[in-house]
Amino acid sequence: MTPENLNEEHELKRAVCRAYDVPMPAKAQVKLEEAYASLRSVPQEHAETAVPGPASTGDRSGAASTAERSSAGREPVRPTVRRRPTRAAQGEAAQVGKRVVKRSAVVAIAAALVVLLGGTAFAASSLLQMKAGDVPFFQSGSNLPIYNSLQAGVASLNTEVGQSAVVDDMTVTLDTVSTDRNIINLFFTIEKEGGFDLAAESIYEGSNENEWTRLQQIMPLFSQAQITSAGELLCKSDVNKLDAYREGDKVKCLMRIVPGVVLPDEVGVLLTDMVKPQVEGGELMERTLFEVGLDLSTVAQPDELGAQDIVFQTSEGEKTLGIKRFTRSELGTVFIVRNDEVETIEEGGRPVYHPSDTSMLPQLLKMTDDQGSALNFVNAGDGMGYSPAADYVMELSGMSKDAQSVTFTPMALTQSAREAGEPDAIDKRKALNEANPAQEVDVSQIGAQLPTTEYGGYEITSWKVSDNTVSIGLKPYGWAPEAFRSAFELHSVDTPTALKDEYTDPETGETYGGYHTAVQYHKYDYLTGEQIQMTSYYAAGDNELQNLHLYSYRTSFGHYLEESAAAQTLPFVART
Amino acid sequence: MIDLLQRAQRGDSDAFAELFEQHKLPLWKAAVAVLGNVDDAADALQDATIKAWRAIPRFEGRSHLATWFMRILLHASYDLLRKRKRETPYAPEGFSGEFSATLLAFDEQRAIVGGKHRPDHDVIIDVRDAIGKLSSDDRLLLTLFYVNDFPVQQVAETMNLSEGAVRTRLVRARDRFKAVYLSENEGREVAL
Repeated sequence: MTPENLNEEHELKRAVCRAYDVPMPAKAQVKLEEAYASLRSVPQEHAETAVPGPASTGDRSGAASTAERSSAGREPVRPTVRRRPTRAAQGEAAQVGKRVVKRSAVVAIAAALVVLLGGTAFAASSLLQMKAGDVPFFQSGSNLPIYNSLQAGVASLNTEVGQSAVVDDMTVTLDTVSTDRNIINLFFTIEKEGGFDLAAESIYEGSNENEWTRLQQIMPLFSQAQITSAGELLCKSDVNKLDAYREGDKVKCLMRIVPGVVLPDEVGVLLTDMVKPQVEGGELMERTLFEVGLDLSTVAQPDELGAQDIVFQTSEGEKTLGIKRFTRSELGTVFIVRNDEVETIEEGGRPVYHPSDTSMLPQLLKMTDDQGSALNFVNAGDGMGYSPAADYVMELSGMSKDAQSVTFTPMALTQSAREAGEPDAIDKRKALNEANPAQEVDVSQIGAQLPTTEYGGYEITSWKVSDNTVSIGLKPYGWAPEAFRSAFELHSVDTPTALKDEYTDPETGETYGGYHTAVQYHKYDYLTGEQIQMTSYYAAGDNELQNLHLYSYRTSFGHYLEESAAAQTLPFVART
Repeated sequence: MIDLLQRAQRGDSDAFAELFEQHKLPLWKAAVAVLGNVDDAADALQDATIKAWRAIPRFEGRSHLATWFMRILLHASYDLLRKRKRETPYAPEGFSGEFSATLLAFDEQRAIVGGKHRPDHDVIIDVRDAIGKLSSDDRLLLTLFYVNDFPVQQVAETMNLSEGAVRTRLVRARDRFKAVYLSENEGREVAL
């Protein structure tokens, strides 16, 4: 190519194509296939069917978040957008009249749909009341030990349901519901004529992941649960898979819902899924599987901090935390924060979402109760069950039963971390990263502490190798920034044997070799915050895994500063 | 494809996978263009797959599906780019280090298999180096237009720009590429 022919368009195109036509390597295809394999457990974000329902409690946080999801859902060219900020949405709506009309129409249509979908008003006599009693799920002791701490709360508030539905040739029975005003736990039994073929549930051909992992794939995949009251939809919430185990020919499983609203006295819980068409080309339809009416009039209202904006005087200026709900009950602690991320359009036209300079992010808060307990984030189910287009809906662990107040202490980024965050600050980033080299730990040393910042970290509580799976218990202490919608991770320093897989590119006919190592889950104790990292290997066996003690993890020293002077304490008040 | 789309929108993950497979190569190339290394590109593509699956029920057909997928991929890529900028020193020289090594590995392998050194090998590397010195937006523009063969209208939809702005930026990106390429190959004349 010469300077002369560089000016010829076709030569330039040819040069760019040849230089830039990067073939997709097998490892990228492997990742893609892993994503495809995971889709069954990833809920889709369907178009809105919800409208703000006037809950008898007056709590409208869930309704608001639904409306925000709706507005985000009207943007087909921005499918991955985070929540559009209220101010921006209002300003935009004022300027774009057509959109206002359309959104109004959508809400009207949605209202009509709600009447059709959520129209069941349960007769008072058919409502189930919570009462005390053991729940069979925990009786065999086969559940993940990390969920044992739920047992006491569940035993004090539950009701038998006994409804059954057929899903994919399986009979699924909703045995028990355990709910208070804050949380809904669902217990199921699944049966299949002829029993379950777990070999058929392997993730890859020839892979040897453990039984628990395969059972995750057997558990039914529900659409978002519709929470109703008096025939009106209050909110839609993810149904998170927590646990499953085999009991004879049956499978027992546990799922959990965190409703976006504090539940009123009368509640309907509607569980649906999508039905595959029986005829070629037929459209999938939403199908109602379970519909349960609950009378919660005898269930205590949760303690709450009250919906409010708190303004922190930090070293970076005033920062506001929009608390929409902070409620503590028998079954858990729920924290809902207004999402104040703002959208800006870069010069290139690319929308970018980032936290407002004046908003306080929940992950930068250290929270403690007046009994000295640190509150930690616990991720719902598989940690993916949240909508990026709505409020932050979180569960917190560690709350003392007798706590009277919660103190929120801002954790600011250090000057070094702030400077290193600038796009061109390469040397500063490098210096900060060099100060945090990968740490190594022998996971067989139970009780070893793994500090991740100056303010806290994790303690190893257990290490177990069984059924091609390494389970590591990690108890947080102090403040852990990485606990918010992500999981602290330990990685084996040595790479265990991988499962070889081959992929043939249908376009080129070339065959690549791909390698699959393991599937990893993180599950949380909702009361203590302890997490268990379960890594189930496809090819490595127990003998090999037993000899892998050395794991590595990342730290963030020098990133954060506790701003004690800016801390604020809010007292619990009884909800009326 | 419409049937696949409808099935994917109704929750059929197999249909979605089939649909995504049809679009993956342009997405892959764009991810590499923005991120500059194959590992991050693989992560971005994986992330985009999940996000597209979650959001596809809301796809209303107001743009090409390819454009819609591409926008999701670009969101995922830029998110990852920002994250990487926070985490580690990213390649300030463009396609240096791992990416070049990966591409060289492909080329070297082919050269060995072919039994001779290909005469255009150096040119490919030179062009690649020159592209690597452009901004990620320029790289993306050149990839969408030249490699993925997107018409200007589709590039405009994908990048949220007017068609006029795309044409202007293409001219500038071409000029910048030529300037970098020529400055690096001053005095050299190679045959393509």
